[in-house]
Amino acid sequence: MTQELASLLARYAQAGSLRELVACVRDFAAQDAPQLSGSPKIRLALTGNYSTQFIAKGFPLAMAARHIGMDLYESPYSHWRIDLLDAGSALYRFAPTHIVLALTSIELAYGALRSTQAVISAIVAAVEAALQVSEAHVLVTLPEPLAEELSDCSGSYAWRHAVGAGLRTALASSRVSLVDIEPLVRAAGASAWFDDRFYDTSKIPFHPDRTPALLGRLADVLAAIVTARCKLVVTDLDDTLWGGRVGDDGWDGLDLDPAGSGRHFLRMQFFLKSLQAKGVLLAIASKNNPDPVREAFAKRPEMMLQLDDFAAAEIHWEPKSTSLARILDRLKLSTAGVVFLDDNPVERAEVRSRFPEIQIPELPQDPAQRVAALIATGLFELRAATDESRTRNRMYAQNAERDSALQVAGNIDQFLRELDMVMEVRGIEQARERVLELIHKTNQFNLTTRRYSWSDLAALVQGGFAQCYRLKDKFGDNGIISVVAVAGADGADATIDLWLMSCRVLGRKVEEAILADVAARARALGARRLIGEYIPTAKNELVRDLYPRLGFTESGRRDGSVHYELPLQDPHVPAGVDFIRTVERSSTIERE
Amino acid sequence: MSKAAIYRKLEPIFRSVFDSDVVLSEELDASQVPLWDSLTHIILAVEIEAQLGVRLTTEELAQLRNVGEMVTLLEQKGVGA
Repeated sequence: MTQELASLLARYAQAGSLRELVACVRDFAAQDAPQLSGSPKIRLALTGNYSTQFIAKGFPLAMAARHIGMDLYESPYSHWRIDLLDAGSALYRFAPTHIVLALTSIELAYGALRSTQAVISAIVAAVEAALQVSEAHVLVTLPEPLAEELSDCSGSYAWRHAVGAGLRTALASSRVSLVDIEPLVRAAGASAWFDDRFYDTSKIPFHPDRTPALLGRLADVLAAIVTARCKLVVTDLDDTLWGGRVGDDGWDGLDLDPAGSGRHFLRMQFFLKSLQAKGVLLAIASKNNPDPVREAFAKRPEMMLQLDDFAAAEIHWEPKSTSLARILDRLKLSTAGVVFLDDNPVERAEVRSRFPEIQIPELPQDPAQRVAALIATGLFELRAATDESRTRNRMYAQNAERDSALQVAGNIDQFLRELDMVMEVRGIEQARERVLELIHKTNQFNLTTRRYSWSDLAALVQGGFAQCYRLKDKFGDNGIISVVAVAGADGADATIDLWLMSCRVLGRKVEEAILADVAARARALGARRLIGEYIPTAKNELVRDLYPRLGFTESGRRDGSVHYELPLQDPHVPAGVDFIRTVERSSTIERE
Repeated sequence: MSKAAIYRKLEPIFRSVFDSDVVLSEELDASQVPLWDSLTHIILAVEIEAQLGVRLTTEELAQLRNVGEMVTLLEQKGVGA
C-alpha cells in the first residue's frame, strides 16, 4: 500500500460529514489503480427504496479500507423490486456476489405497501428471488425507527418491530444478513439523524452527514461476510474465563466476584455468550483434569456460560494445538474464521506454530482490558443471527459426542525446540519464600502433597538434597516452577520425598529434564536406585502415572500410596531432553 | 456591505465542496461549475447550514439554483449582518 493510500484511508476513517466522505472518495478515484493486490474482490449490487447514490459513491473506498476490492452495480432509484424479481434484470446480468438491499421505513410505512404483512411479503419475495436466481449473499437493512416513534404513540414502534420480526422469521437463511441500523440512529441521536427536508427534496431518509456512519456499518457487515471473520471461538479456562486455576484453587476458590476483579472474567463470559447468541460456536481448550472443570461449571452460580454452551471441549494435558486439531475435526470446520483465546503467550505461540492462519488475539495481561481489546480487533463484526445458527452449538455438541476422538499427531517437539528453554537449578535456600509458597499451594502436579515447614524440609534433606528449578524461554521468565526434595541419598536408595511443579509449564517435557538432573545428583552422592512415591489426593490425578511414564517400575503399595523405583545404572539413567538447557546457579533470586 | 460579507463567507465553502478555485458571482450556477450536481448541491446546502449557522426550509433547499439567489436568501436570514 502506498503512503498516499494509507493516509487517505486514515482520513476516510475520520470522515464524519458527507463533504469529508465525498472529498476522500474523489481522492480515492484519482489514485491510479489503488493497490489492493492479494485482497478478495467482490461484485456488489446495491439497490433500495431511497436515493442510495451517496452510499454507492463511498462503497469502493469503504471496502478498500477493509482490504476488500469491489466492482459495483447501482440499481436505478427505487428499482429494488423490479431488479430483484426479474430474473433477467440488469442487476442479475451483473452477476453479483453480494447484494445490498437498503430500505427505509419512510417509504415502506407510507408508500404503496404500507401494511405490515404487505411490506414483509414484498421484501421476502424479492430476497427469495435473489437467493434463487443468483448465488449472491443478500444483506437487507431492517426498517429503521421513524421519527414519530419518539414523539407519539402512533404505532410506528409496533409496526417496525412487527416487520422486523416477520423478516427475521422468514429470512432465516445463512445467505441472508439482516442489518439493524437502529443502533446508528441511537448513536447519532434523533435530532442529528432525522431530517425530513432531505427526504422531501432528495429522497435521502436521514441527514446527509449520517452517510459515513451507515456506509461504515454496511461495509463492516459485508467485510465480515467476505472474510468469515469469526465462526468458532476456542477458549482457555483458567485465568481467561475465571480468575485462578481450578486445579489448584478448587471450584470454590475461583474469582468470579461481580463486585471485584472477578467482574472482568464475567465480562468475558458475557461477551462470548453474546457471540454464541449470534451463531458463533464456542469450544474449550483447557489444560486441566475434566472433573474439577465440570464441578466449577456445575457449582458456581455466577457462571454465565455453562458446559453445554460449548460445542466441543478438550480438557486434558496434551498440547493445545492438538486440542485445536481435534475440535476442528469434530466440528468439521476449516481454520477459516477460527479465533483462539488464551491468556498465556506460550500457549498462543504453540497454537500459532501449528496453525498460523488461526486468529489469535494478544490478550492483555490485565483482565479488565480484554473484552475491549477483542472488540477492537474487528474480528467479531457479525452478521445477524438466525434461528438455525442459534441452535448450531447444540447440534455440533451432539455430533461431537457421537464422533470418536481422532488422534492427531502434531509436531510438538519442533515447537518445544523453538522455545529456547533454559532451566536454572538452585538450592532451595536461594528462593525460600517462593519454594514455601509452591509447597503449600500446588495441588495438581504434586506427587506427595507434603506441606512442609522450612525446618521440616531442612531436617529431611540431611544427607540428601533439595533443589528448585526456574524456567526461562524466549517469551520470558516463568520463575521458579518446580521443587524437588530427595531424602537419604546416603545409602543405595535415594527417595524423592517431594516433587511438585507448576501446571503452567506442563506439556513442555520439563519434568523429564528435572528428573535427569535429580538422577545425576543422586548418582553423584553414591545412590544406585531412585525411589519415587505417589500419594493420591483429590487433586493430583494428573501425576498418577508420572513415574511409570518416566521409566520407573512399581515396587509396592502401602496405605494408598504407590512406590516406584528406577535403577541408576546405564541404560536406565534418564537422559533428559536436548532442547532444555540445564544450568546450575548459586545466586539468590528475589521472590517472583 | 452585508452582501459582500456573505460572498466572503460563501467562497471558501464553494471551494471546498467543488474542489476548485471558483470565484463567486451573482450569475454563477451549476452549469458553470464542473462538480456541481445534485449530490454536491446537497453537500453545499449542508455545509452552508453547518458553517453559517442558518437553517433552510425544504422549499429553499429545492430552489437555490444560483449564487445570487443564495446570497439574497442568506441576507434575509441575517447572515452577514
